[in-house]
Amino acid sequence: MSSGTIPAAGFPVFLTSFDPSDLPSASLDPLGFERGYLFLADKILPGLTNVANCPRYFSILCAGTSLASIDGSLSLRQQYQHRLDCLLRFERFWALASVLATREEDAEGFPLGGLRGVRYANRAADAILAAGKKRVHADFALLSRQVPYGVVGMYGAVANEMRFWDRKTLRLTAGLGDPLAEGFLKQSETPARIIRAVRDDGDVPIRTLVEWGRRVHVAADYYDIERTHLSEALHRNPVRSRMAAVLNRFPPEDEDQTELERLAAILPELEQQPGNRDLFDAVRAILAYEQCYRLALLGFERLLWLCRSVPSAAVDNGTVLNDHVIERVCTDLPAAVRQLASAIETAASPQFREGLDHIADIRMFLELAASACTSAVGLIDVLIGRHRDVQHGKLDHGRRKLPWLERPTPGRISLTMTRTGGLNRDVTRPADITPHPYRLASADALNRATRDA
Amino acid sequence: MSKSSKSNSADCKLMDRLVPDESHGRLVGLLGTTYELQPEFFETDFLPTLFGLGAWDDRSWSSRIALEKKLSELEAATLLLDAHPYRARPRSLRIEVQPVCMPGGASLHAKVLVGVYEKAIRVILGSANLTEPGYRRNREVVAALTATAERPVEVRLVRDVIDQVRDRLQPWQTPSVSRIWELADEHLGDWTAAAAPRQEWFVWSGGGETPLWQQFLSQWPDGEPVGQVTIVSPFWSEEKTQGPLATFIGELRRRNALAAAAELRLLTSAEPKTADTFLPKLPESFASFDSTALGVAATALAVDPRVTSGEDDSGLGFLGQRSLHAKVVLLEGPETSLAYFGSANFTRRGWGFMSTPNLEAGLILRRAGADRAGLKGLIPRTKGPPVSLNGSAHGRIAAAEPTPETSAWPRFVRDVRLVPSAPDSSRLELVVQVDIDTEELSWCITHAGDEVPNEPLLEKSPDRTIERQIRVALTPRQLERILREQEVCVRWSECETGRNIPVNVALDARAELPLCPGTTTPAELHLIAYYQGQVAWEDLYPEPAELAEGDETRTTDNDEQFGVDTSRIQSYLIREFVEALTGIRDDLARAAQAPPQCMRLALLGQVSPVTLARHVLKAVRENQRTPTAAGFQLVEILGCLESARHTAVTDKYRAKWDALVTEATGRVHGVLTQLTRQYSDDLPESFGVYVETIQNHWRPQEIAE
Repeated sequence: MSSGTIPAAGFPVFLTSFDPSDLPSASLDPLGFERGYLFLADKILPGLTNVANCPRYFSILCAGTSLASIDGSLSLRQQYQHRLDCLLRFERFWALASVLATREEDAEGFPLGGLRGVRYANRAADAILAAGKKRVHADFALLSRQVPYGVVGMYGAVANEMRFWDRKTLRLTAGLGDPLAEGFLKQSETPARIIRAVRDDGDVPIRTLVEWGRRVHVAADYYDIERTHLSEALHRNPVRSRMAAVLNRFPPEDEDQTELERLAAILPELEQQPGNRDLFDAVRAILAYEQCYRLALLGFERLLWLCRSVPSAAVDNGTVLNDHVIERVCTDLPAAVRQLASAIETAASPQFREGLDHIADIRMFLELAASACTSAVGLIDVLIGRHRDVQHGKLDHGRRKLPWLERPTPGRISLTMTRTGGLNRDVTRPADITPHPYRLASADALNRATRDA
Repeated sequence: MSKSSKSNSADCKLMDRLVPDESHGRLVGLLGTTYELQPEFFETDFLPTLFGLGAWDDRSWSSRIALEKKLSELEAATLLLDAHPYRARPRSLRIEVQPVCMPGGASLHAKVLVGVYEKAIRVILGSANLTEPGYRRNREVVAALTATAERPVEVRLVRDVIDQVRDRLQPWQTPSVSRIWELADEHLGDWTAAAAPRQEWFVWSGGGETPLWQQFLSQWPDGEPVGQVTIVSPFWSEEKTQGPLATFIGELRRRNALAAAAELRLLTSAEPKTADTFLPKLPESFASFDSTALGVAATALAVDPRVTSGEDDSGLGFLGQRSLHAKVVLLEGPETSLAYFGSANFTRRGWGFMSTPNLEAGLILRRAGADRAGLKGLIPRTKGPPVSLNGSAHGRIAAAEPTPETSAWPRFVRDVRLVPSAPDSSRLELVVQVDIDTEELSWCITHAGDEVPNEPLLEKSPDRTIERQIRVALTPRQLERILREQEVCVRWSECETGRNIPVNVALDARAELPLCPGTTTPAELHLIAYYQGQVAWEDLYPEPAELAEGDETRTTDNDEQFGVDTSRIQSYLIREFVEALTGIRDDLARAAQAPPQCMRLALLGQVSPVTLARHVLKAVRENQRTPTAAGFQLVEILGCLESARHTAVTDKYRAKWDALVTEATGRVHGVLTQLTRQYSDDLPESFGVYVETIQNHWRPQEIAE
């Protein structure tokens, strides 16, 4: 019987824990803004993601993958599996080593922020220490599904973009992946016992793991080899490189400064730099896009909330017509849409203009919504229609999903399910809607990791 | 939060209980009952976790194909859910979806999940619906049972679950459900159940003679007084004269099982009053409910809806709240504790205080001595002071919202199913089962996407008498639409705009379904690449949009992804084929260790030696292969099948494997016969001798290897 469940049942019986999915969910995008957001994020920091914000993981990914002994006679599928197995074992040893090192050190000096599966690693450490074991095996569960939630799922795509490896075959690249792997293992003095245990699915002495954990801890300083190669990967893409440099010059003013505030602060500087004209265009478009997004989503969330707050889960047009939040959206959205149109139409740089058709459909929707803002009912019809199209997968060929709202009869709006998506709280201002994150934290982390490279 | 608390919270993630355990073998059958189903959660989160699939991306075609392949390896999969909250079915037609419409306003409210594996049966039962909030966000109560040969206590309980669920779901029995029970019975017949005195009981309530509240109270030991009653429920009935509480407490008193100063604690959902204070949420009548009339001191408490830092994995600070959805009743006396937990809210329908109760499922646990302390772990923490229910709780409890109205459901349509047509089993027709006792005067069934019923698939007018079972022949276009929409729309007087209901596919026709509508059989070169280990199984099925529009019949004979079009160079292709032979044998050897449905797919499915043989003959007919080269290939394929006949097989599947190998061999032989008959002039005279010689010489040699 597992701990955490009630004792004496003989089998697991428990009150369930809070367990929100950390996989991206299409349900979080009821009006289909995600595609435009990703397009714009790629215009300033291509190849990065928000979640891949701990650069040490790239070293772990490369080093773990490199430890697979690949026999040329194996099929490609078997080679892939060998690499994957080694990487997953290496990730588990490393997570455990980081946790054990933190326990022996001052936790403040060795924080575990950014370590994926830290609770699982802590649980494994508890079990090992409680049992008084001297050696440890990498056979504990790290995350419920280590592949999608761990280094492979969260950093694999970025590592592919940054040319550390080929995600499809898990082969390291000769230029970046191989030397980073080799150099990291060497400079961190990764013990041969650990390498053997990874390769042969063996065990290692705990003391060895703890000592190694201090050297390769998730919060430990970066080695020269990491600085060099992470820097090369970061700056390999010229757009990413220029944006990272700008962010380096304009660090966050304080902890409370939001990404959008920071981008707005950077904008005048970018305007003065002819070489960064594309970044200027992109940041200006981002600011206008997010304004539209927050207003449109505010209107939609308000409809959800109005329906949720009544027992029948349905409201009529009259309720919406008298609602001050919908009224505000009707007032503010047309100007925000004009601003976005202006930002896009006056953008001069060819780099920014390339692929603008990716946001054509969201622009069309926004223009339709803006023109419908003369009446609250018109706006609502456009919002519900857009939501229905998004949920039915018309725009991204995703799974056909249920709309959350519908018009069962003319003049009436109702929830389609009593427990549906959305924020499920009363939102009244655009500021209540969280904007999209634009990967600035990941770029900052890479800047920090590659300082003095 | 202490480290141990964090560990505890990690142990109690319901999704983690779905993750496959290698020692249990593969999943072969799945049955779930739920009140509410979120199909997108089920397909993009639940099933990938259950199957242990890697990174899941809803928009990635290969993810969908991978999932569909896993589903095609199941013998049967069925979901039964209450009809009224039904909104959509999962996309895969390999999952049977049975809406259950109960008479008298009752609901199928039980939440039981039965997974039959090669070496285990796992049952998850409790309060969680098959929805994202149920499995990830709400505060639910759950038991996870795993019956194996080594776990006799759980074998006994799982046997109870299977027996009772099978019995009570009899009216909705389908061949798919029957198959799942058969699979479970195969295990349960082999395993020994514990004979120890019973301290836990599975209870499926509703539809039987004894209501849940009586079943529960009957397990309380005679003569022992109950000192405290704790009821955890998010939903309650009004407590007026002879309400659920009055009946329940009255029965305890009648049995002389209530202590003089007994305490009654009602734990319910929390209504935020300020950012950090909450009121217990109960129906309006509780404000004036005076528990002293029942001889107990009752209090209401709000279950803490906040997410603690220990529960929040992200470290970002979760600002939302967790809804209470757990249902628990705990009786405590000086010696004994008795707990119920499961799907039943403490309402008139939930606990059977009325004549048309819901179908509910739960467990009753009885513990004495030191063991009983553990049952307290089923009671969630509360927030705020208890509110005394002494007739003047106005302003100190929040009124619960009334239950939303239920939407209409065409109860007279019992089932809509695609089944093989009697004259031609390769064609599908629609079979509609009608309950003629509740049937409406006029109604029709149309495609789900039709806004107006212009061309109904089936129409019943007032003057037309109808059979219980109606067979509707379908045009290819109609069939294709149904396969894509997976629902049809029923319109009748009560719901003229129509209600979509799910379409299922007969169990014996599911194996023949394409992996997804629009996908085609993988081409020969792609099969060879797969057997060589060059491409993954999922890569054999490119997204339909990538194919040329309007050409749905062609195979994926497109080698752009391989760089050079070598498909017309025979010598190249035959060399590639020879290099794939080891892969074919390995693939079949792996399948021999798997359950029968996987065997069938590997031997006879779209990625199988049989399909490869058909491609070979097709290449000859299209003048892309010489008959001699094709003959060589077919003989080698037969050799692989002969090798498979002698490979190691799980004992209990040996007969099935032999039968499938024989069937596959017969089909390839049939292809070879067609070749030799049709191209006898083009084949060398010695070809027959060659075939015989190769087969005679090859078999013993291969067997020896």
